[in-house]
Amino acid sequence: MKALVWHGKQDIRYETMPDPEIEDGRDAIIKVTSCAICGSDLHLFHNLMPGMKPGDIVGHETMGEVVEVGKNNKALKPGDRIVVPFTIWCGECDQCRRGNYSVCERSNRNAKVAELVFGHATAGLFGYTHLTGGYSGGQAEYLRVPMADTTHIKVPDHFTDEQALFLSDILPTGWQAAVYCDIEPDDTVAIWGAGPVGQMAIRSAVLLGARQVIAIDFLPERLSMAAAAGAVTINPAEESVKDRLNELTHNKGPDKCIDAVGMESHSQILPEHLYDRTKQSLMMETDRPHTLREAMLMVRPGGVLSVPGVYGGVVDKLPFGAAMNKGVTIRTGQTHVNRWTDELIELIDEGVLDPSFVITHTEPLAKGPEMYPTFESRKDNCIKVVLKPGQEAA
Amino acid sequence: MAWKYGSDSSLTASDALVRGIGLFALGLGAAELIAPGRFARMFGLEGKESLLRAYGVREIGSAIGTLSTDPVPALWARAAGDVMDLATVALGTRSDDAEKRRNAWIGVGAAAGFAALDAFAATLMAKRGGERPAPADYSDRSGLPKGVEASRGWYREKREKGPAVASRDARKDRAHSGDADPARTETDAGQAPVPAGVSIG
Ligand SMILES: NC(=O)c1ccc[n+]([C@@H]2O[C@H](COP(=O)([O-])OP(=O)(O)OC[C@H]3O[C@@H](n4cnc5c(N)ncnc54)[C@H](O)[C@@H]3O)[C@@H](O)[C@H]2O)c1
Ligand SMILES: [Zn+2]
Ligand SMILES: [Zn+2]
Repeated sequence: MKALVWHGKQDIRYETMPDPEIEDGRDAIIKVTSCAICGSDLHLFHNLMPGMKPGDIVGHETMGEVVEVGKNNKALKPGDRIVVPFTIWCGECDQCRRGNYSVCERSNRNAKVAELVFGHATAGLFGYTHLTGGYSGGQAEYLRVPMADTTHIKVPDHFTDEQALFLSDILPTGWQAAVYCDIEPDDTVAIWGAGPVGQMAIRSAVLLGARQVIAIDFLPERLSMAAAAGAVTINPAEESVKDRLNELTHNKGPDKCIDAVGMESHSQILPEHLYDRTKQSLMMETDRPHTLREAMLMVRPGGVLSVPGVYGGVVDKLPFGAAMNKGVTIRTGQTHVNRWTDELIELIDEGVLDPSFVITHTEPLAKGPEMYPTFESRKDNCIKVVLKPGQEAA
Repeated sequence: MAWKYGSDSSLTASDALVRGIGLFALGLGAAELIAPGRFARMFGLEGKESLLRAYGVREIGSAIGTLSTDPVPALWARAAGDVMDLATVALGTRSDDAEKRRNAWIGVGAAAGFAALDAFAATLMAKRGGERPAPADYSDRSGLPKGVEASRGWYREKREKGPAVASRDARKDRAHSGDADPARTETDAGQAPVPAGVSIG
């Protein structure tokens, strides 16, 4: 089969790989109909996440048709159309019983390595480093889904791929980020990053009833998409984030803040940016936490800071004193995808939410090596790329 | 250099060129830092060792930037640095020693060449991933078919009126073929450290 394969920094190749096979009774193999490139994939593209190996198939936003199931898998049969959640969960361990699927205690087959880096292991993820199991990803023609009897989302037949695909990751990620904010009707929710995750968080905050939603990003086209859902926008290249947030909240600060940027944040303050960039390049810190710093300082006392943005390791110069003294609640994590599935399907089904709004580019899988730099450089007004394995490259 | 990666890689010939420049700069910077005397003697710049050492530091700094994921600013900084180098080695063209004069002229030529190369690489990299057209207007993409104001609080209201959401219980249906114990699941769910409010029934 053909797949997108990681070979090193900025080196993603479209290559022939062996077809996946059933390895365990709970497995399923799917023929991929649609997959997408995620902001998290950019952290791999930039080689900033530890634990990738050349030859790893990438991709964790995938859907398709079941073509084969393992002998113990009673939940699926060939022909079923499923979306694959990016977190692999067993459904049996203590954490899965609590609904904490992204920290499933059994799906990470490299738990020992993960313990060294994170203290305790987290769940297995598709196409996302050997710290999270080293499972092959779904930017491919076929995907083996481990623990597929639990790790799947059945979608209604009348949903298009474009409406269903993001149930795999960015939609529940934006939703979880907003739910974690415990939004009250009077709240102002400020969201850093108007990428796909930020966009989903904006819609989620609106549906959960926030009075005012503020979106912060440098890219005008992304801000226009944020404004489409009623967000007030701030471009840090044009105005002071701090002054504007205070102005919009009568100097109280946003009640709830969401960091949907993560470890590759840009800073307008040149020395800060150079400091973090240099330390990151020299591997003295893994993450550039500008957004985290700003949000910690801006959030209203007693407020919530929700962090869906991905961080990989250690960060530096965090104003934790501000967070502590202001009594800020911090909530974060990889998304417990299936925890939110039913309510999100309901929202789509009732015509209240249509997540396909975020797609700006649809291309054959073979074009993946071109689409990574297009998404990375934010050129061509790119916000979200969907890849189709079935299609011929032009 | 593209053939090295094949046409199916996201890595282009210009990426490879920039990587080459970065590695070269790292080597040159280290050499200037460690052995400024040799450069000084070669180009007739005796007495300028500490300046050369400072250039070494500059070179290493620009190498780090050049090898990073956004090399454009570092490449422009390098082009400017090349002009500084050019002006410095040009001093040596007035040396009394014919060989040093010759070396200095070679140095001037090389610095001019590097300035052109760095500027060329910077323009190539700026085009990476395509042109930047005028920002698109996506203000028709709300993703909320009922309209923003009709959607505001829609989910909250629904939950306040309707039955508790099924989401977290849904895992019972999906749980591993029969052996998950629903009673146990229920109890655990009750004690779960999940966010209060909206979503959890
Ligand atoms: N928690 C999860 O389970 C989960 C799931 C998916 C993605 N993520 C993470 O969410 C983050 C965003 O993902 P995405 O797909 O939207 O990526 P993206 O890269 O498209 O979006 C990031 C956005 O942040 C903006 N940005 C950069 N610096 C900024 C700053 N200082 N202030 C404001 N905006 C700034 C960028 O311009 C960009 O639009 C990534 O870190 C990704 O890894 C987490
Ligand atoms: Zn993702
Ligand atoms: Zn589990």
